[in-house]
Amino acid sequence: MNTSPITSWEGAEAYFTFGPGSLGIAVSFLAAISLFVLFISTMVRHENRSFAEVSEIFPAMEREAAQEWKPETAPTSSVASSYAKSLLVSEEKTQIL
Amino acid sequence: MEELNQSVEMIGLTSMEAYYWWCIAFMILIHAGFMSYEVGVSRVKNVLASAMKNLMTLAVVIPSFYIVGWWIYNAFPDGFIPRTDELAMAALPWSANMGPNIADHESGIFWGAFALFAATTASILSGSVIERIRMSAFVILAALLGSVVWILAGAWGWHGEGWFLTQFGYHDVGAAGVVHAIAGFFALGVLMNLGPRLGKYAAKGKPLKLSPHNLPASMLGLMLIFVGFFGFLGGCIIVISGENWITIYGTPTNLSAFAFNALMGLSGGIIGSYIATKGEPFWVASGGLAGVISVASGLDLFHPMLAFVIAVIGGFIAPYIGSFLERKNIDDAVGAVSVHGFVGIWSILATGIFASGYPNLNGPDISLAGQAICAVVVMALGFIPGYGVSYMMKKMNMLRIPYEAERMGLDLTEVPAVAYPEGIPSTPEKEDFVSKSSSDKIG
Repeated sequence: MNTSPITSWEGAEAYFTFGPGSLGIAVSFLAAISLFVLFISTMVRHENRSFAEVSEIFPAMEREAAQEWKPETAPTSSVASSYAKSLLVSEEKTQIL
Repeated sequence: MEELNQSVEMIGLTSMEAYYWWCIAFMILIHAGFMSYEVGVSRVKNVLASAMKNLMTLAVVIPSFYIVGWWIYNAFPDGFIPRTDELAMAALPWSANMGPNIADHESGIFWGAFALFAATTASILSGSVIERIRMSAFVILAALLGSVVWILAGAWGWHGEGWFLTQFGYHDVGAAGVVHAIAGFFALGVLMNLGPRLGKYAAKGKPLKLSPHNLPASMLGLMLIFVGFFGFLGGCIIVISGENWITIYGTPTNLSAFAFNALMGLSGGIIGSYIATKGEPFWVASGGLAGVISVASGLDLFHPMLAFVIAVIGGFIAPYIGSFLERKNIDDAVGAVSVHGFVGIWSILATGIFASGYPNLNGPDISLAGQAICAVVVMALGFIPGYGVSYMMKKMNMLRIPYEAERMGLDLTEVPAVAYPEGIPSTPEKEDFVSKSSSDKIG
């Protein structure tokens, strides 16, 4: 496909494919807009499908989560003290090295 | 002699092109920074979705800005009625200037710099809405903000013939109003319809802390944004070969002026936020950004010590405004409304307070009244479309992800990849293995 709007570089200005104000530019423009719209619609479809899947499996996942996971709690004094102890141990180790 | 003149002119044009080329590259660092910032602020279940949102920002804003944004800038400096002069027509996508053209060294490179400004506005929105907005809603809002709303403000207030300048002597050299405040108030409008993240507020409305999953990543992100800002601010000056460089309003300036005040603003903002929060890392890092934005409007005019003071104030007020908004049920995950929106307005007003009387070439002198009037218009121009379009999306159930998706996280729901497939295990030191193997031998 010959898309060159110029036949020589002598005195050339706008030299992009098809040339300014051409049918080729109009087609490219419409194609670009269509792809942009296609991109958004693909995204919306993907989201809708993903959200529907999640809604289906969500109750089962919630039940599983409730069985296997312990709820998060703030560090208790024993957890905090063991953490502090581990810090001290690593500090001692560093000093020895 | 004529050949020599042509040669000199060509050197000037190509140098100018090279200058803006690298400004564009540095501005992409702003997006790298926003990505790291938002990923760090997100909880583990949403990190990839947040990162994808930053990529999508570039993907949608650049082509949409090509299609309409550059034309809006060149056609609407007078208000809502478009011009039909040569400059406006040359900005249409099918014109001779909007593609490779041997005779035009300016259109592409200026369009590129403005496209990155546009993407920056959308990135500002991006952070504030993380973890609960639909990606499709975000990309539509990003395209609207980046390719229509901010650039309309740019045509009005960041243009040598914009009506902000010709009627009110508006001065906003570093785009604190037309980029940052516009984006911040647009984000505010969206947040009011989007609502807070699940678990953000206790039953009685008391805000709870949703801690960033990786605060160091957020702080690194802000450092990248600081680097990118030098591309952004560099893109705010007009390069003229062989002459003094000028501001977007045609008044003389130079990069020395910008360097003094951008750096003093950065340090002042960090200090201001440190004083306000007693060293809370998230806000101290954001304070640097608030500082640069605080001095952006009068970047070419302030004495550096005054810029420092203005930036300290900007950095100081940002956390308080953020906290106030949080108490008002505005869940802005990254403080964008405060740092970009309100501090952007502070920047406009600070120029009116501290730089009144400076002459303009195409309008009245800079004044506090002129700056204040334009600040109100900027707030309205950002807020109204953000609120209005997101309200329509909300009514059409297009704005927010479903409850189940939010509980389970966006990564698991819609991203076909895993951020941390091996978790983040602590790794042992080599010595641990050595001692273990030697104890095995003894045993």
